[in-house]
Amino acid sequence: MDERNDSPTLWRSFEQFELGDAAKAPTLREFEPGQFADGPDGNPSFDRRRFLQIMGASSALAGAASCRWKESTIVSSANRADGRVPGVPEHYATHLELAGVAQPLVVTAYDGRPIKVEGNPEHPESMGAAGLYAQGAILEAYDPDRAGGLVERKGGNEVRVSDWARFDTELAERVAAAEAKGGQGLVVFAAEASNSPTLARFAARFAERFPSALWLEHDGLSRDNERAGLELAYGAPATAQYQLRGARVVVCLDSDLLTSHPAGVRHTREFAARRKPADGPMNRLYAVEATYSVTGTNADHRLPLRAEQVGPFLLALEAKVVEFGRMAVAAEWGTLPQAPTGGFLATDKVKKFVEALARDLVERRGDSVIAVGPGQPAAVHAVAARLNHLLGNVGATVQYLPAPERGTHAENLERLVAALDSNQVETLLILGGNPVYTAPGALGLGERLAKVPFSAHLSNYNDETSLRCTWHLPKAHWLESWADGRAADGSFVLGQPLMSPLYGGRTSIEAVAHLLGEAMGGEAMLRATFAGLTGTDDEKAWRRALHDGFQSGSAAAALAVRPRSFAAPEVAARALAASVENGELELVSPPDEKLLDGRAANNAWLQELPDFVTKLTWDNALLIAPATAKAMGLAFQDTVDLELGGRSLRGVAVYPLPGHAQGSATLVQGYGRVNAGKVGGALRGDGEQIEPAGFDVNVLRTAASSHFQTGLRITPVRGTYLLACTQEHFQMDATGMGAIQTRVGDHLIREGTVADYQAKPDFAEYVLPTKTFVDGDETKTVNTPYPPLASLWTEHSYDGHKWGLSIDLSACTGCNACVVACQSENNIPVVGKEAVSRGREMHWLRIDRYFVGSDMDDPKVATQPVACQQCELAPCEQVCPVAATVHSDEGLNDMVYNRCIGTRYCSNNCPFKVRKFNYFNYHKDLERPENEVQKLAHNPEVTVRMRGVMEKCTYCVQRIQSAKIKAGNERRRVRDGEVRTACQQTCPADAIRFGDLNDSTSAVRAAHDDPRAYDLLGYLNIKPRTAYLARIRNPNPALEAQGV
Amino acid sequence: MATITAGAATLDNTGDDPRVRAPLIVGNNDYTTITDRVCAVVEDPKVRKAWLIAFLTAVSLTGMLFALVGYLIVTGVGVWGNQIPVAWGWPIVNFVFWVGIGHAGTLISAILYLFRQNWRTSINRFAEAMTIFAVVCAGLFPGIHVGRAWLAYWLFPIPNQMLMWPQFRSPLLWDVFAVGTYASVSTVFWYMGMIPDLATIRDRAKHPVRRFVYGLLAVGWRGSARHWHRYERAYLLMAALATPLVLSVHTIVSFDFAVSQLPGWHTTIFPPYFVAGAIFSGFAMVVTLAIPARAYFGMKDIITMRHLENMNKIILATGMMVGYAYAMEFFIAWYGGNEFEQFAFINRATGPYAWAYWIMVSCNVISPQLFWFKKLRTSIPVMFVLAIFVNIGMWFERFVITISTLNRDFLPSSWGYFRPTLVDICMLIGSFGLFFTLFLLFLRFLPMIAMAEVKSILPRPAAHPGNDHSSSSHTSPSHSELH
Repeated sequence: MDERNDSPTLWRSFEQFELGDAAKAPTLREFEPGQFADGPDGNPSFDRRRFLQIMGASSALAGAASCRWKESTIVSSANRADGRVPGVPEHYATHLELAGVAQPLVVTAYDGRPIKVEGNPEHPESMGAAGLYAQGAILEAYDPDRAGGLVERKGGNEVRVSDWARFDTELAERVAAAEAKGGQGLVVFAAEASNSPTLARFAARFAERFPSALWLEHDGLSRDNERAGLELAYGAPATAQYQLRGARVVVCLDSDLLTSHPAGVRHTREFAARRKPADGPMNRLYAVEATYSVTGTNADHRLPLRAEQVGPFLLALEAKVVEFGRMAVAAEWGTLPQAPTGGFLATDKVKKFVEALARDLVERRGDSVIAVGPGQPAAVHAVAARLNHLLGNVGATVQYLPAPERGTHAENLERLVAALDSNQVETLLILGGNPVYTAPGALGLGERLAKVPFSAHLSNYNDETSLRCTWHLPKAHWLESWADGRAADGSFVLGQPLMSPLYGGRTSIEAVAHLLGEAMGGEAMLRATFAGLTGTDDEKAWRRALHDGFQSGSAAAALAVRPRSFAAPEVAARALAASVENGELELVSPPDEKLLDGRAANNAWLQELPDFVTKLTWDNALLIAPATAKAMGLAFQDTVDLELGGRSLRGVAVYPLPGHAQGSATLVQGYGRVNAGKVGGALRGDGEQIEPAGFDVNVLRTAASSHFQTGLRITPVRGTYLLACTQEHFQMDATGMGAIQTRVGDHLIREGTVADYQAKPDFAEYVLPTKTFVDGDETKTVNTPYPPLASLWTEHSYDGHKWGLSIDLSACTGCNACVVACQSENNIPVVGKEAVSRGREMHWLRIDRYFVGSDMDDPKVATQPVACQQCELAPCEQVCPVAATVHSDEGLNDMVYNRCIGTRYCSNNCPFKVRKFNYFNYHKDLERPENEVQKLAHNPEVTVRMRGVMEKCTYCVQRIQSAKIKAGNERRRVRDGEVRTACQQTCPADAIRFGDLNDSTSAVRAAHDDPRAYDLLGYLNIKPRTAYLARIRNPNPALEAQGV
Repeated sequence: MATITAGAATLDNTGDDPRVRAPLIVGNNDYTTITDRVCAVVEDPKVRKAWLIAFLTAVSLTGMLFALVGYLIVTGVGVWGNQIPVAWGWPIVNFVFWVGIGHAGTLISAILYLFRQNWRTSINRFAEAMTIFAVVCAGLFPGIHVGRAWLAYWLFPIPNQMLMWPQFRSPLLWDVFAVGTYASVSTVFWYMGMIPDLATIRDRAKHPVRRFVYGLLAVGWRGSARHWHRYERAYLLMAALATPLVLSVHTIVSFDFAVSQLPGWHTTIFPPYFVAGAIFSGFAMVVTLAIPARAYFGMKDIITMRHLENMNKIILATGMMVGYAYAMEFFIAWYGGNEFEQFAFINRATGPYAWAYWIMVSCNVISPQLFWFKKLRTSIPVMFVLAIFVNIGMWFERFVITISTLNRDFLPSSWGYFRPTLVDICMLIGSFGLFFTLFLLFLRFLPMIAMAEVKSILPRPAAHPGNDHSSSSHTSPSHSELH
């Protein structure tokens, strides 16, 4: 460096610049011995003094390394651990806690970087399947918006702080001051519900040390109404656990048992297991809801009612069940309330529905489930519990698990607001969550928080809540965390980090431990809990639990419940009214299926994931019944102003949704975030302004405990708002609508009832009219309107493997989990709202959704996952001029990216339109230095495609290859079930089979030979390798006959 | 109509009296005047203002086109409105449109030549030029249309280190051959036919540079009997060679659609339907160009009303063929009983692109019906407007075929609505700029009328005493067999 400082500012040549003054005598310098800096004698060219200088500096710096916060490594990459082969993926069991329920997961990591989240196949709550949020977490973990370290806010300025030391010191001082007053003024607001025993342990320590301090738990996805309802009915807080495997009749009242429920994965698996007609009697699903849930789209009978009508409906149903079943109600329940009558309950349709359902329930006593959604008031949950009890379901299909004593989440939020109002909060630590955004706007939490002298928000993102606090603290992502929790069945679940915190974050447990001054390593804290729970500190047991991701046999025992009398839910006259005026409309605002309460708003995979029913991406919209829209003169993409209780939301886009309850409007939570990040929206400071995705319904909400409220006024305003949908049925002309109605049933989604199936199991093959023709001497009948089809070319033969896939439409719920799995596995880029609105979304696997039937107010929904069908006579292959898409000898329709020049002819000729084209370089953003980290999310086994090439589903050829290599090394054939495609692996409904069709014993062979199997567009003679199994519905004959 | 006598000073040669052979060239024209008038355009030392304005406009539009091509290649084909399911958008529409335009020239110079249609001589030169420039515009689009334009050469069967050949089953590859052959044969045919005329210009040139350049282009033409003999033989052979190409090129372009399995594309009527449509649009374009050119450059005597009328008759005839094809598509869709195909056609007429379909039908089927009336088909304003209508209609025909078929195929879930971007629109306009740039240069620097051939159909010089045709000695009408 010294030499460089001597360099002349004006220089003639490189040598002169390098050599500085010495260059004045270049010839002299040239022959100096010093030019052999690392020359033959090997001596460095500097002298003794310089040597000592460097020695000294090195030792000093070596010492400085220890000044850092001590890092501990689990597996150091400095020395390769035994058995670790670079480039070979590793799998670790861990978990993600969502709304206080741990989701057991397994994460795949390459060379220390997690790239794929899947369910933990060993745990009964997952069985290998994972939800949307868990799978999307890969993108979240590498989100560059999480970067930035600690941020201190002083007088409106943001100051970045590189380490925790100053915060820890400041906090310690304030905690010490608070401790002197018994904790007065100290508040910990746990904004993400947690069942973590370790966190509970620290919370108990906290309560012990700071008796006057507050520890309040809250969650944007709270399910406390159920807990409160069960407390009403049984006198003890509890959570309900449903065993759908045993249930013949499932009644979902404003409840999404299959997806947004914490045990949705298990529910779906159990529910779907009884949707396969060959495997015993099918279950029957009834749904009563205002807006579609995934569960509602799968219902055999769905009744669209306003959310406020669900309570009265349930009371009416209960009365009918008691009447039809001639039940003697146990004395503990007290006298049952008078069931409401009149209003909507008196309409023919509802009456028939209630009666048919009641009869069905009475017939299936002890064999049914009645579930109420988390947005319904506690009293409605209590009635449902009573009805389950009366039907003898409790102990059979319904169990109750104990829940810890605490105030409800909604109460806790109010307590925090009250404490803030009385200026009692001096030091506030918010753990996770984003309460400023998720709390109802009426509470005004944001403005109140700003008054707290010292507040810190531990969070993944520097978000809306962080902005109102004096400190933002980076939270370690769950993929970077040691954590424990309890799964939906109460079992003890362990989570281990897949990598060190990328952005220096801490977990909630660590943050509290630091507050208490009891911090130690994450693993040690968990292990202490484990020892406490199991009573043993056995290394082997700990290793076992860590490896499995849970402690086997730790599921909670069912709670023995004792009924008691409770007050019936109030039934307002307005709720009974069959129709309501504008100004009295109902606003339904459940958390979104994808973004939840907004915590996934900065996750581009989930933002771009088409909604399960609206197929909307990047936005929410005001969903209203087509009849309501018509009455107000509103059409798709029109804008309206919403007004409720004096608060208003302007310019909201309208989406008329068939099957939505009339008099009700839905705007889901999770959107309109003003400080989510570069994906979800960021309107702050002078930086890049990114428009929020969608509209923030929380502004209009009044109560955290409810997902609906009344008194909404919709005022149409001028202008339209672009909504990017992947399917555009709502604005279709009569020509198109007509074609859909005939096409869907005849060709695409073949479905029948149980009766159809029993009469003719292979009915799906005979949907189209048959054709008789004469071939030589004999007369043949074929089940297509066309004679047998012949190929123009010599067909391929498959001597080795013959890969095939099957999708059971009867099991598929359309939950979207496979779409995210595919995106994560195959490095599928995100294209943004504008591109989606142009039809350029890249999903290799999409879920088609059709409304069936002519009744816009109450249609049936049919869903169908569609990816490349790997046709044996692939139309795409014939037309590619450069042979970039070719057939493999195992029957895969291979896409050779290197060879593709992008004529897009293949896409035109693909009857399924499953080929996706890179219209731009969709990975361009990753080239920016701050975004490079996102490259870590890529699966190294899958090529990242460049601009100008076509891409499509490969049947996860990388997984096939790795299984083949493994089998080849072991000198055996690939076993059935060894290759699992990403979609198959994560499918909670277990609707997908993949394997070798040449293997007569394979599951996929059996599925292809199933009588329900049919080919999509088989008449084109393309011979698709994906078979669909016809969907079987199980309607109630009583309702079917009445046409309800 | 009035009876026309040969050599009369009247400009009207549109008579239908079978007893009188209507003259093909009117006015008091002889060999000298023909040469003078045609060469005057090329030799005019002044740049005429209107030409210059037109040329500068065209050049700037061409500049815009190439700037956009650069932007496209740097950014990606997403700058167009193409999407899934409409993976082929305006670029392919423009391609087919321009290839179609490029049909009239070779048809006039080859097929009409073989059929001894002498009236072709007045229009064949610039019709051929139009063909070539249209094919240039057409050729641009497939090249830049591919996602990785820098690898477009993989479409050609070039031996390479990857041992990869193109996929010969793909109609796109046939297309490369068909358009490539057509472009090269048309160019050779056009150039070869121009050699005697180039020699005339060379001989009349005063400036040494002009003499050199035109001399080079005239490749040593001296007008000897042997030259004429070989020229005539070669011309006949080229005409025979080019004739099947006129039919093949659009047949193969139609295979791009017909060989695929999309309902609405997968029809056997496409080849004849496309060829008829191409001739239809090509003649409409010739009329569009001939009307201003003959007025501006004073060629009304040579490109007479009878020529225009003849072309209008062809427009009427081919327009009816196209109309028949439209009707037949519907009939076959119904008769074939395939519900997807039925839907494809009903959707064309009543679906989201019904507006485009009805523009197409009005322009291509209804408007040419006016040409049944002699008064209308000999009216310059009417035929000019109608020819432009036909051009618009034929662009929309390709739009309807490409886009309204793709936008709704088998699975309703993947249906979409195509919206063009500004780049799409500007590139279409820019392609006209390119076309007119080339065409205006042609008008200014090359003989727009085949002088030698026109002379061959003039009455013998003896009938016009006092003519001194020494100045056009090299282009003496030796091919008297044409009389």
